[in-house]
Amino acid sequence: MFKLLSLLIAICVLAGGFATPARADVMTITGTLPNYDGNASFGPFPASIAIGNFTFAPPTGDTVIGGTVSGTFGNTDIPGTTDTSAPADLFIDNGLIEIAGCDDALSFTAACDAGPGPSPFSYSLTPADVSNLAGEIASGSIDLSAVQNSVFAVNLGALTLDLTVVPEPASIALFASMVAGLALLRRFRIQ
Amino acid sequence: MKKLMLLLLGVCAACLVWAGVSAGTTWTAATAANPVTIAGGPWMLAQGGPYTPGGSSGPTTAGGPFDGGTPYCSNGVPVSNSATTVNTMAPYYFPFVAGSGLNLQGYFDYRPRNVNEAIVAAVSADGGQSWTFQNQIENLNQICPATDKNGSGNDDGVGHPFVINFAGAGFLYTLDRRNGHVDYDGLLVHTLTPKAGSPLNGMPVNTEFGPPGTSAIPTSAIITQWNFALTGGKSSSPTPDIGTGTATPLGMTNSYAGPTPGCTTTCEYTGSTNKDDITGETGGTNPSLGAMAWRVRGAGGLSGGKTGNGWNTQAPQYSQGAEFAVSTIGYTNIVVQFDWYTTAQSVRNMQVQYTTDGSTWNNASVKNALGQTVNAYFTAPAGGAFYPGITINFTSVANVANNPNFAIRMVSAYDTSSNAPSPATYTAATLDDNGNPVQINNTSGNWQFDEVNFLGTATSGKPLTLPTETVGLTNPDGILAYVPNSYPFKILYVDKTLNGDYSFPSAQQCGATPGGAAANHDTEYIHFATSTDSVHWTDQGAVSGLNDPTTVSYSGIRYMAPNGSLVKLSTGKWGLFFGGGNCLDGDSDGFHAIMYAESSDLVNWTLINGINNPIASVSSVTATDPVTNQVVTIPSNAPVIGSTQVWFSGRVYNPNAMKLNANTVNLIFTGYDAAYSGDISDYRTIGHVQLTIGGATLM
Repeated sequence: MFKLLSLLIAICVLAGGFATPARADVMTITGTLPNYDGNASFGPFPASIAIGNFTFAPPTGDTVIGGTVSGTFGNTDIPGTTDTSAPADLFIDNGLIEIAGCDDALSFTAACDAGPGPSPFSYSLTPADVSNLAGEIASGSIDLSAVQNSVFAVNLGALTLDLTVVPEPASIALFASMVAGLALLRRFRIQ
Repeated sequence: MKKLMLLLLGVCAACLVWAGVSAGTTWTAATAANPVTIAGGPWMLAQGGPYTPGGSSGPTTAGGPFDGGTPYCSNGVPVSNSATTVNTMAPYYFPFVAGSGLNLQGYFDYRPRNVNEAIVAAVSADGGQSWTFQNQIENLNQICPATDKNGSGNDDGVGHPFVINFAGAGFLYTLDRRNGHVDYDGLLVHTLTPKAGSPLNGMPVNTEFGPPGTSAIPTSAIITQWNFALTGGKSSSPTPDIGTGTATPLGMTNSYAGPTPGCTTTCEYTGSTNKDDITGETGGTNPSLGAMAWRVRGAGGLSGGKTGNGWNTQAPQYSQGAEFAVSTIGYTNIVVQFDWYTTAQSVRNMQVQYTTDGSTWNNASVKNALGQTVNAYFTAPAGGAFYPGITINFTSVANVANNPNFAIRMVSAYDTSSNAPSPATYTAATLDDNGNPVQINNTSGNWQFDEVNFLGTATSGKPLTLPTETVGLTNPDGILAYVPNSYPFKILYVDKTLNGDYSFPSAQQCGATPGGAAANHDTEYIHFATSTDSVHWTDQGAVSGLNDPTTVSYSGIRYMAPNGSLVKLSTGKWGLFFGGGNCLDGDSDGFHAIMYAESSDLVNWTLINGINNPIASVSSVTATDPVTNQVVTIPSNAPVIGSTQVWFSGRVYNPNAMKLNANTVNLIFTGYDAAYSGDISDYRTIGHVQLTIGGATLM
């Protein structure tokens, strides 16, 4: 009887071990977009541009608690041409969340439109952003768009979406059952 | 005492600093100059080996694009090498390079002599010492050479590529090299639509000036075309090859006696009978070596028949030439294009006229490079040749569209130039030794026409789009430099007038070169210009301190080449690398030396490295200077990059100075072997050298 009970507990422990992540801490889900090389434009401005969609495996069973959207204004595709960008603002969530901006005025002095090379940007998602993006996150696709504010071409590079994810409570319960099972097994052995 | 010493030290320090600022910039070579390599792309000179040059000045007796080790073509198609084929980067020249550090983007003029001309993009990861092919566009043709020297071939396409980059966009400028267009029309402008690995993505593979269907003009835009390709032998009023219409010679049957105008006795002929026909003529829009043209002339022949050649100074103006009539019913936005060929002794000037009622003839008009509407009056290339692609846009002319009676005439016109004979008369395509027009001889000479196209848009269709040219630049030969990160765009460009110095006093005209080559009579001025849209430019006038278009001194700079480059210095000044030359060269291409100048305002320049202390130079020349009458050796000081090497002993120019770090530039430039005119194994080579700056740093 004891042996049978020990076997059952061991099975539960193993099942709990398989069901539980190797580390019960945050994970990152990443989506990327290829470099964007825009067409030169003389207006009218502002002008909306659809850049593309970050696609990723939806975090089923896990909770997104934050994330970042990063990249560069300009890219290295064509040295001397695409390494800068026309002034533009970048958005996700169908234009509702602004994540970066570059020199709205026609001054052409910012690093993004006059610098020697690509100019990095990074935006951290707030809890409110995560909440507003719930539908997109569940579908595994978040859009990226731009509003061009002045002449020439919007060029973007190294476009990356990183979602910070933690395990769901069900996962924690499995982990807890594994711990309890181990303790029970030990008690039986002692007895 | 101590205070006095400190004061003196301070003064001395200030003096040293001031001296450093005033000492000027110096350049030294950090590496040797070497030809660069390219991996992949079109045929390269090295593939035509082994060559057998015919001595120190050529000619080549074996090897080349026809029967070399790897010919230009394989199975009737120009070869395209894979990236594993690496050779010296020739025949390439007029580099334009963008980027900084080691990662550079290059645009080059690919031009195998007498075979083809194209624009090639290539990328470098080592500061320009080696390149990898990416794109080839704007090919003049896709034909194969018939011999190694391919004497009847053509390489006058579009060249001198220059790219203005700003705020993520790029604009490619090229020179239309065709007779009648070169250094007269505006520069061609293309907005780049690059993709990763393909900087010239979307650009036309073939020249936009080729026959419709192979160029920017689709065959759907053709209402009627005469190309005379399938019509052999003699033919009068030749029929079109596409569509319907009539072609009629004008004024070739007449009773003019000659050759002396008005002669009544001892005339060599009395009258003329039309004898137009189809003849072979290469060098026009049709790249084929078997291209044909329609020849307009009288029967000619002084023996027996005593008939004149048709063309005659006694003919009233506008009465001799050709007429093409095409109904434009169902079409709008009418454009007429044609090639005009003149023989050496043919009438020099042509007026294009049109009619909308079949009987009333009006002079047509065109837009010039400054955007002004001018008379459609054309002048033959000096000596006679093809003037291809004459384009008359009738879009805004009333009653031309949808008209069954539309027709054009190309008729002889009196020479109206300031140095033409008086009273007004017809002059010949060949000028005299002083560049002055002379009256036609009334015994020879004729006009020919080819690639005559009546173009239009079918009603409710999309209007024809012609290539975009700059407006506002005067006789542009190319862009010398773009001021980096400037908007409105700011450029220095070369304003070049062919045979423009005949109006100068003789003391300001070049003589023959020390080597006996003919004098060159072109004039060049360097202008500063601005633009907000890359097409329309405002010319701000000529700059000073770079070249003197009137100097005949062998130590002066008379000519300058496009495709130089600007660097920004820590002193607040701009440094300009450029190619230049003078009367020594017998040519206005500005290739004698690579030189360097500085300016605080981009308008007033100070020469730092001139022709006698150059960055690089062709082989030294010792001769008697026309101004001082002293024997001089040019250059009188060693060039910065050291002794002249064979591969740039004939020409050295187009310097692109690319910042590597605050103290160093990679200089990418062009070189020619001195024997290139006869030796086809070594010309148009891209080279590299690294230079270090002293007296300032690079911003």
